[in-house]
Amino acid sequence: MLSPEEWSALRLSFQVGLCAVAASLPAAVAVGYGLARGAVTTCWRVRALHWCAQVLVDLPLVLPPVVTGYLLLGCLGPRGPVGRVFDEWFGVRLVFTWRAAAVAAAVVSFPLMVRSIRLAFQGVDRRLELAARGLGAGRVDAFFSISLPLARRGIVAGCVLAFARGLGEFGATIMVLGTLEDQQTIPLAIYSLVGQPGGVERCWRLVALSIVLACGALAVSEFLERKQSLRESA
Amino acid sequence: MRGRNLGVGLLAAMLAAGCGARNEPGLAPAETPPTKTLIVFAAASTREALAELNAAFERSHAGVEVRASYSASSTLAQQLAAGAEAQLFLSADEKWAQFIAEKKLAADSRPLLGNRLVLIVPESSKAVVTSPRDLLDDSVGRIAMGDPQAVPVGRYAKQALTKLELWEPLKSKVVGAQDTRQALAFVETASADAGVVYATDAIVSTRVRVAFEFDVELTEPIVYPLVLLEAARDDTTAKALFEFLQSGEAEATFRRHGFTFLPAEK
Repeated sequence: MLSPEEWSALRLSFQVGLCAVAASLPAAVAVGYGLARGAVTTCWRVRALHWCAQVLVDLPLVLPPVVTGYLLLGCLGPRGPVGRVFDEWFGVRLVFTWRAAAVAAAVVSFPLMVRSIRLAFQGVDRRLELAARGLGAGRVDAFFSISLPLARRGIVAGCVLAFARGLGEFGATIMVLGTLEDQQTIPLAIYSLVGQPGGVERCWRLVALSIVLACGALAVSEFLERKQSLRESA
Repeated sequence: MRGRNLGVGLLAAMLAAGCGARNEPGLAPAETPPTKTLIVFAAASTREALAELNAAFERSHAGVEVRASYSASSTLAQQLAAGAEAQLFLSADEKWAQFIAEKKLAADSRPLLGNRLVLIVPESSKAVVTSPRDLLDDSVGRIAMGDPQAVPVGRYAKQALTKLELWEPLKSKVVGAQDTRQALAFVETASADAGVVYATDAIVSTRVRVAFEFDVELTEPIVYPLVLLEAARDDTTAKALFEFLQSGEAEATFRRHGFTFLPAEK
């Protein structure tokens, strides 16, 4: 049904998307929880910190993806701060490999994940956490046994949304992944095909695949978020 | 309860699978992994010829895989300067080969191919274009070419039109493309009424035809240098490919695709 090149693009897109979600999940949960709980406070310092954090987290959502890609190239390249560490200590190249594409997907989809997770935690009644604390549970214990399970649907919705965004990431990815023939994500494969003679006709399968994947992810995410808000209104 | 556990289990499995499967892309599950992988960065116009030669090299060297990246020489040179790994670089002009040399990334360089510049129009075009002056006509709305600032074929095109004193009046009609093949695609789909590409590109598509060829005198000599990159200085397999692309077998393949072969003329 799909040609070898199309399978390769699908495989790489999934690999990049799943790794991006897995890698950014712990940070997204932590940041989402912090932003949810930090929203209600009288302390002005915390409010200012909260505001800065929210802006920073949302930045990749608003910044042109190509700019994100440019900054990542500088950071992950062999002479950049992060790239140099990986190159010299581990002998691992980041740029122009799938790893940089995963980082790009993670950075670009982070705001979406955090948004969903923050909403989920905001819907978890604080009094339940306080009750657990009152009964003797520590902060961490209360988080893992009360807050996290109650917010799980929103967290999964955030993951699905982030995965879909990572699948569709193009602007940053094209800057850090390069143009190797057999190392293209679905959007890059489509772009590359369109830039070749006869390519416009040949890429319809990839285009259809992208639309199906995006619709599927959105449908699942929407379903989960509704279930989450139903719980809150119960 | 069961649903929740199932959902969490599924998610965990997916994440584990995604991160566990860190094999290099481009590999089908049943193939044995190659013992050696070479990466060639080549100008877009050499795609078909080089694909044949890379396959031939793979057949005569068991266990060697040759992967290629075809794009504008400007894009490829910038990627190399930004840290991309490759062993060979086939540039469509001297300028980008020199750029690489200045960055101390080149170990060896030989002029390999020559090419000619042509003007193409869509196969179904009714416009009468037989000489460069005809481009001034209103029937020619958009002229596609590689970005004249950086992409070799675009730079050559700008040189030719400037020498003919046509660049200024035609500037506003120019549509910059990412590389020569994208310019070809623009003309093929009639998004552009004309395009400047290499003679070797024009024969790749049946939906365009050559209106005229640009005089050789109008541009700097169109020379494709083949560069052995610094990272491959001591790499015997890379050097073998470097020599192979200058051999008689390579000459036959390049000529068949319409290129001039420079090592033969020594």
